[in-house]
Amino acid sequence: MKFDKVDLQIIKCLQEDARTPFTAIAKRLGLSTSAVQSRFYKMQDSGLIVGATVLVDRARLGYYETFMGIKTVSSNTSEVIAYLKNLKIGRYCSVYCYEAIISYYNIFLAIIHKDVLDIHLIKDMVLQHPGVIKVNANLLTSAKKDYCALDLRNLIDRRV
Amino acid sequence: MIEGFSVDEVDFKIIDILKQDARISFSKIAQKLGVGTDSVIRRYKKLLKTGIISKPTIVLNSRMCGFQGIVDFYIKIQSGTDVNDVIAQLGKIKNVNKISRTLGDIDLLCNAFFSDFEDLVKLTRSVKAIDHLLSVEVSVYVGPDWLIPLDFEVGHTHI
Repeated sequence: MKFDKVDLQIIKCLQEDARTPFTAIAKRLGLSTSAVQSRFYKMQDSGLIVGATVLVDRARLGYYETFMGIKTVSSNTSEVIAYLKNLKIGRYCSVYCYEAIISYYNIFLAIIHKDVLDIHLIKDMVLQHPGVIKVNANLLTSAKKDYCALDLRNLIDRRV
Repeated sequence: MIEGFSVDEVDFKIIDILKQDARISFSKIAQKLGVGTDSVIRRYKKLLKTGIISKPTIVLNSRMCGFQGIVDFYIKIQSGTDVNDVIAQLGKIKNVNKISRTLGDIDLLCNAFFSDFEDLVKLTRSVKAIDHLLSVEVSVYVGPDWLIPLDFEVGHTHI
């Protein structure tokens, strides 16, 4: 499956506003609406386009975002992840867990919470596990995000 | 934190639906929530205008776009340095996705997508080349599977 410059242009339109109707994209790019439509569905069927979402300004809704790094005894990492899943910390706030490949820490938790004290709660729970060596938390106070700056030229140079 | 207007239960439900599928029709949203379509459109415009939500954006498969992973830079800056200056310089680097100020043992957290090792090296050198940085620690992750403006809620295991 190969993608070309026109596909990339369609993606760019949808990155700016995913609700842009196909007719509007067609007009902008000088294509027929059905051409845009079939290209879109081709990209969707191939798995390139996964979906569409909105980003939420969590701070304005009263949510904090904290990034917690957990250093574990290396052989215990999956055990600690299983332990964390069992704790169901997600009942207090949204917690997303992922594994670092090259890092001082082994596990990262991205925590979306309303109450700053939630972090103490989670840190205490994490430290309960004997495989955990260290826990470090950083509260994100402001973020600059510039999405459309991602360089997608790789997309058309790669045969998928 | 909510200035001059309120966000109610219905607004939150609309936000949740749009987070899952931002292309869904307003009438479908109205149907799901048992409210009028006009009400949904009005609320959507309000949420957009006030910046509570961003314009809907498309989610792509990051690997198919040629990105193999995410790199995090944990940055400490020298005292007396203007952090906004550092943020501006980071923003110029290709494929930097998110820059956050933090409270904790570091000053700035910067995420970027990279396509291969050579790209990772280029990125890291660009960050380290910025003036007045006390230290830059580098963390590398495989993934995420989905490429969007990096938002922790998508593409990782919710626990």
